[in-house]
Amino acid sequence: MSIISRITTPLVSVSILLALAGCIDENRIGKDGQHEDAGSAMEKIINSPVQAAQGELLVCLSAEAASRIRKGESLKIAEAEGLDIKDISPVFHATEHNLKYLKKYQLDRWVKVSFDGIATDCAAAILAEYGDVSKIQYNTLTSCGWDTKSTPAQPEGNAGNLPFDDEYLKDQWNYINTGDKLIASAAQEGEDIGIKDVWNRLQFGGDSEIVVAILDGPVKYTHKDLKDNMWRNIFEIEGDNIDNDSNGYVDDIHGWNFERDTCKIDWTKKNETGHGTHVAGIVGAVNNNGIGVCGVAGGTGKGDGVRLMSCQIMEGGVSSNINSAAHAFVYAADNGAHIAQCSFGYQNAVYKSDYEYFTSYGIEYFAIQYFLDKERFAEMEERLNKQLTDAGKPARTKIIDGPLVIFASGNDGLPYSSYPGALMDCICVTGTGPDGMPAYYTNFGPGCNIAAPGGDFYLNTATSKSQILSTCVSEAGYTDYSYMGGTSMACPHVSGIAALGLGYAKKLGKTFTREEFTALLLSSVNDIDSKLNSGYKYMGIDPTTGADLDSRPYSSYQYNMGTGSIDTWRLMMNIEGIPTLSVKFGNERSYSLDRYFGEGSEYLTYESVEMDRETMQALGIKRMPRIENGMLVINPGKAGSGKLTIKAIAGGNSVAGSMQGDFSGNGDIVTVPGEGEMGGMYISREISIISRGVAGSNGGWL
Amino acid sequence: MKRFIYIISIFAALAAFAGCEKSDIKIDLAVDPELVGEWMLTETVADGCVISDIPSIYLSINADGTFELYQKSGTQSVRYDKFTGRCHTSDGLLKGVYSTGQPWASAWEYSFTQTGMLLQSFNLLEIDLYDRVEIPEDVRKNANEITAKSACDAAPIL
Repeated sequence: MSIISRITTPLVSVSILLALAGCIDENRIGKDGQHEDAGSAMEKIINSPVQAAQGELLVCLSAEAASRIRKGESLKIAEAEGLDIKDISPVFHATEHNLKYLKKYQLDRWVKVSFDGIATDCAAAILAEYGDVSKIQYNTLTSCGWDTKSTPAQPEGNAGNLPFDDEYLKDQWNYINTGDKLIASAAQEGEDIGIKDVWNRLQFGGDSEIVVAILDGPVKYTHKDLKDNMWRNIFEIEGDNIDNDSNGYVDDIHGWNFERDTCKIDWTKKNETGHGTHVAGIVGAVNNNGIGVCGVAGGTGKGDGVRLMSCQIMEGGVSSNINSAAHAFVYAADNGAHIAQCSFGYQNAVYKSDYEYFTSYGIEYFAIQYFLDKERFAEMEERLNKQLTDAGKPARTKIIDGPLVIFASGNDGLPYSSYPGALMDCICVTGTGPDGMPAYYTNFGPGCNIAAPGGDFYLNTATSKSQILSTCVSEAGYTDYSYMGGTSMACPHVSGIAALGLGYAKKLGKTFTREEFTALLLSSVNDIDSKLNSGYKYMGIDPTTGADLDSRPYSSYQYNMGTGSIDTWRLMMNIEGIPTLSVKFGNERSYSLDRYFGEGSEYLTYESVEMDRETMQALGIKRMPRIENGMLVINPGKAGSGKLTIKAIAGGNSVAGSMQGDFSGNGDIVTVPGEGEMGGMYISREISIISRGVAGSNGGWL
Repeated sequence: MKRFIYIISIFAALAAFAGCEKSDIKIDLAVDPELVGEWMLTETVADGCVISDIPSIYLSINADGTFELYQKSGTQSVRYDKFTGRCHTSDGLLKGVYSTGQPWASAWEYSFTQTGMLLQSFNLLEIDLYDRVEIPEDVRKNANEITAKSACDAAPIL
């Protein structure tokens, strides 16, 4: 019997829980003579066939059936009556190193069943009758978060007095926005990611130990402005057709093609859009090499850019499907990624809660949890470091105790994020234009955590300069560089900045828990909400009628773009230390939290303020400090110092509930969503308090 | 509300100008030459208690009436914040305004010790002791200048 302990309310149907745990002790025998692993046959089908790939299904086998298939035994479903089965293959490559964690999340049980000659929903009904089958999931197509407006670039740039000598940096307003009206008439100086001083004054551009997995279309790893920052599996010998490092993949040099389950990352297919290459360039195009564009964490010209791992989950302009994305998460996890950069999701945001998504997309949800698993990450790092030191190379530095998953919020212009980005565990990014305002395409509202530049086509339809300039694929009919826009482009800014932050933490010799680092990242923002009191957003043109769509009031975006617009400099400063707030004793006063939670902190939802008893006594505090109107209210009775912790919600005013249980039957406790609406994520900041007779209103000591 | 406040402040400014007679007010905005130099905060006593974990603070008071305040936020911070502005002395008090436009939290009564100086807040709630030092070059060079946009914007003290 599964052990279920509840973390938060509300209640969940026990029968559904037990079915998911695979532990109903019913005396049901399937058509194949095997015991049933779940409830009725049709209950095994966990999602709808809408927008699903045809001729294939994802099947979660019973634990016993999975064990048999690993031993090389065949399954009765291979001869299922009425089905012409072409292939049954495990979704994930199991090895001695990852099997333990694949089992923890039931991922070892998933196979892809390919068949001919029958409608997919009929095939699902047939397979559901078999006891070896525990769950069936339609292989739903995701779409990339790109507004499909792409323009080959012929930038006119001149490096001038910019930090790096890349030719087209001048056109990358997303990094340094001078308010140049050639970008857009509405372009505003300063509406960028605040990276100039990080490159200039800190002279920091990244660290080659940091690995960002690009789960997307193929990354053109031979691109002149990317090749020196590509991740390379140094334990694999290219072209020898041998899995030299026994990671389950042969010749995986720069990543893997999960669409075809092959080492060949292929950007030459018809209809290739260059989307993956564009996204990768934002994260880490090589900086200061005299050519092309810059990338957020592309280095300083000394080979110090972060490393880009190409996890190809789309091919030739075709959307990804679930098994490719799920497989990519596991590969990226097993091969050392610190960050999973995910500019994709489900169109039209059909799911409205973490629980709804989880029950429909078990394989993908658990693949994300596999990636995020801290214990797995620690074991992987230990194993990787042994491989490195055995090969005479320096071990990787411990910087963070778990990796990050960063998603685009989606481009449907809806007042909630799409999934998987909306998941509580994922950082979800909305998009802004060179005017610093929400872009016409961006999803916003619950599930969204932070905003970043994604471009806005309609701010300059003549030249497209209001979009994001990055690397592209000349084979796709573009040049080596192109403009694109969408939350697809906003997301890699946050991934790049997170990668830069990890590198900076390493430089300072600091380590963080994932929660600490996420809090710093999501509170390193500039205010956007105070600009959204009035005015209307032009929403573009209806593609079917050609008429203008109704404008949307900016007020609908207010408090819904996440914590604010990301600022790289703020993150670096936040990484440098615990901030101190000087307060004056003797009276109750209010203090802004902008320095700790970013500009616009008064609009956040705060959960709690915690201060231990000893600190309260040291400061003569009789009443626990609290948050009122977004300000910290504190009344120390005497001079002294101490710390307090403030907990807030990044994005929205609620967090999806969660619960823990043993869903695999192995005794591994994993966390899954509870019922409840989608929302933001918790972030906490620890603040040092000094109580004095004097306290400057701007933080200055005098 | 915003417009109303704007109008009120215009009138207030007009009234201030109307009240000024050229010959009545003599404003000396110079700074006592003995204060000119570089200082390091060594101790803060507030309400009779020595405060532990004070930030690392360097202060440079310049002969032209400008100042730089280097302040390291948090014990783990690598870099100093740099505040700038103008200051002057008047009737034994050191007063100042940050370049962001915000005034110092207090006027400070100043006096000198054998090794440095003592600043006592006007409301007598705090005494800060400073030693005369040379501000380290790496403090100056790597400081993060607090501008209007990046200032931490606490609410005005009541």
